[in-house]
Amino acid sequence: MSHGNHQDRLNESLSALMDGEVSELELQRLLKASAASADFGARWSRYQLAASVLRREQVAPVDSGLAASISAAIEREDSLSQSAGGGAEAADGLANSRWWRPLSRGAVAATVAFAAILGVQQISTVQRDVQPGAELVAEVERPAQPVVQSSPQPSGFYVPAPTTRSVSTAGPRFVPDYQPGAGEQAVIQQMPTPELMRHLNRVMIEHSEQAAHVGSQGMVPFARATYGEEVGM
Amino acid sequence: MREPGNERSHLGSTIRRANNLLLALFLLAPAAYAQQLGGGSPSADTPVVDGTAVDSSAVDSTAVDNFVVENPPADNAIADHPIADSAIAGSASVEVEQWLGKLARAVTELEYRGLVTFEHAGILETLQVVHAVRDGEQVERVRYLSGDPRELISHGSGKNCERTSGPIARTGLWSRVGQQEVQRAYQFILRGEERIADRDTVVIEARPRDRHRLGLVVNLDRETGLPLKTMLVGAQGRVLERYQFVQLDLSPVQDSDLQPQSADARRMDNNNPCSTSQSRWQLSWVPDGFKPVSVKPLSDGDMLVFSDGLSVFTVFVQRLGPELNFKGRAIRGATVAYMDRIEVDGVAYTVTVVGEIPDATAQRVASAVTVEG
Repeated sequence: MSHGNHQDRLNESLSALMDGEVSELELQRLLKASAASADFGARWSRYQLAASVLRREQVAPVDSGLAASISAAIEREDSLSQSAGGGAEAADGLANSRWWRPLSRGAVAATVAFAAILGVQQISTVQRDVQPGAELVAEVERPAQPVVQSSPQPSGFYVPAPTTRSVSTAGPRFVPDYQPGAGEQAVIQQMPTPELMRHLNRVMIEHSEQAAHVGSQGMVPFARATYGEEVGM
Repeated sequence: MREPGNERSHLGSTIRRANNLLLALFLLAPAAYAQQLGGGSPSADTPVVDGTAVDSSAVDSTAVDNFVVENPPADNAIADHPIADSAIAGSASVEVEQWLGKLARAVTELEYRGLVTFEHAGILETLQVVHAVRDGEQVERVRYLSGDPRELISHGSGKNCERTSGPIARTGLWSRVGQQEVQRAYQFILRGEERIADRDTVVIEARPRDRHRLGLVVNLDRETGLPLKTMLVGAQGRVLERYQFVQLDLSPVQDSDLQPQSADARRMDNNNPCSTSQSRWQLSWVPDGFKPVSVKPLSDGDMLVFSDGLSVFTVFVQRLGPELNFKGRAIRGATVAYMDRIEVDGVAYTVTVVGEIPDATAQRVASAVTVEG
């Protein structure tokens, strides 16, 4: 009985993982389960295959070392977030106060579903305690493409993916899950200012228009250049 | 190495035939998985399958090895895959070069019209695109059919920007030299065939050789070389953006098709698209293979455009005032905008690096902005 419940919960977590919606806790549980059971690994592979086929992608051999690669990725994430500071040393002039709010790893998982402003912080905001060595966000997975929804929302940068799991937090303000007791830093993402949105739109449009003249991308850059355009801009 | 290639193409075609039967999918999937276990070497990693692929953001030597190890599909591939069949290493690369040359010509010279889906981060938008050549110049019209009405008409993008890399006239995929340059940054792999918008296409993957660019999977129309599907692929084989034709019409474009359909369509004229102004801003670091293609003055700063022949990023350095003192990144599909700040002689400038490049690369580029001298 309890075994059945456990299995159900794992399956649910697995679906969540497919949607990029899994919390850190769930992820750990999944990793443990997949290490313990070959069956479970096979199920994951089937999900992936099915999803790929649904997306009509070229289907290729499935790497069965799922648990290994995720574990490795998480470790890398840790080391990246520590070492990434090297790249930003030039910014040190303004950086002994830390502009970055660290994205906890749990938050990283939660961010995956959002195509949005990730981690942009106004420099003038009040500094808070920051875990040492964690001020830079590791290269988080960008919101990927698995769930395709037609979007009736006005286009912009701040479009939460309308999955069931994000509905509860699906306001325009993005507040990632904060698990009390997890010991992780809470992530505070502020509502982007209209100035910021305008700026981002503008630079993305100008970049795309230039990109149309470089490389052989066909009309893709034009699609990008037009995407964020506001009516009457 | 050869076995998985066969399995893959075989599997691909099997599933393509069956894919209108949802039920068949779920029956096939476990069987396919069993096949993998039986025949596959795990080192034949697959950047296109979400989540399961070897993580190419791992910059360690193993990831690099994987790139090198990957060979074109086997020569004993099954008969209905002529592309894969002939892919002995040498001829495959010649073939890729031919396809890339065809692509470069198609995107500039062909007249076409079509309906396109454009997806990123779970959003699907539909567009109408028209591409024509008038007086030797390209005229393009893009109109969104979903969401807010947005329309763009671009004139005169006939001239492509040159990378300032010595004697190379037209870099990128137009020339052999340009192609060889691009191939130093990416490994091109023929991936077989797929049907898109009711047309046969050849699938080519451009796999980055380092972590500073995104991967690209592009389906070229077998007849014309026009890209009918373009996917940008990030680390872990995640598809960040997909642009795909639903319908393609290759008949000559009428002038009426180039007229705006909405009153507030934006017009863009590109008489001098690749300006080479001087800028006081410089980059102390760019990823290998990226070279400046354009330096353009803005009303409030400068923009510097860089390309490796396939990917493009732009660095903006602007005086924007304190309300734009941000640091961090924003992402839309495959495009990242990383914002930073630089202070010179007591004046704060906003640095924004925008491009279809990995986040960490954008961040590093932003921190490499310096002032001349």
